Amino acid sequence: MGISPQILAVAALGIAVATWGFYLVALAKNTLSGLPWGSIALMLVALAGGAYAIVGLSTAPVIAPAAVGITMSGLFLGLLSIRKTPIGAITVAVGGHILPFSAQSATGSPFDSASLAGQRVLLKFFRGSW
Amino acid sequence: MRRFEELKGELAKHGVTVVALSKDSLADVTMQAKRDKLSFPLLSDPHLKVIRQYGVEHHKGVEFSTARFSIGGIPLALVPSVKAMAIPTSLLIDEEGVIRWIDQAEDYRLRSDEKRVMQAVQDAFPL
Repeated sequence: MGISPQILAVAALGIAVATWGFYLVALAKNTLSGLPWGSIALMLVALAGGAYAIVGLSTAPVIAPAAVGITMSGLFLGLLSIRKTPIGAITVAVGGHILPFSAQSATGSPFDSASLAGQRVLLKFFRGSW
Repeated sequence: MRRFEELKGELAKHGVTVVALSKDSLADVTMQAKRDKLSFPLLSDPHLKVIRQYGVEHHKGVEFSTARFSIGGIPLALVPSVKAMAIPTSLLIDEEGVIRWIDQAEDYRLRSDEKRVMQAVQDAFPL
């Protein structure tokens, strides 16, 4: 194998960082559809490259970037594997009435669902701000 | 949420207003409403009272936080953490309080698609 473990380790780290970057930008822009196969492939390459580099030469300058690259790509693949949401527990159904609720609004005033009566409303449950 | 602000005009044509709710604290939603210049009610449900009432809790949602590691307020990293949060869910409700459409994201990474939302609005409340 012609590539030195040092270069391989740094390359693995670079690929992992770049893929995370591209992925998060795509996520923020909401341009993702389905599984990001390109990112998955790159992360697998980073994972394998990092591991191969460590096996090839276990010195600090190799282990440090390779380990970070492995962690980042492993985290990516791990997070992706738990992406499915556990749907099924929803307590309301189409054709049924909404459940009365109350909450605090961003203006600080209390909000009561009774105030929605007589209005057409798109009620969004969302993840929260990033 | 900014996209829903942009969609507001389209929704208003159908007489639909937006109300959004998340597990964020009151301080967080106040910040977000200001930052994103949101004019619709943004509700805070920090104890997941409403989220659990509607059965849309995602126990192991992954959130990226910039808050944990910072020096002088400058975030050093996006730190993922597992948190209970809402499954992204849209409910279209009519004047009588009857639910006309429910949309849930199967994949928590993806958010509601505008086209799908507008199609549902058009179907429920045609112009």
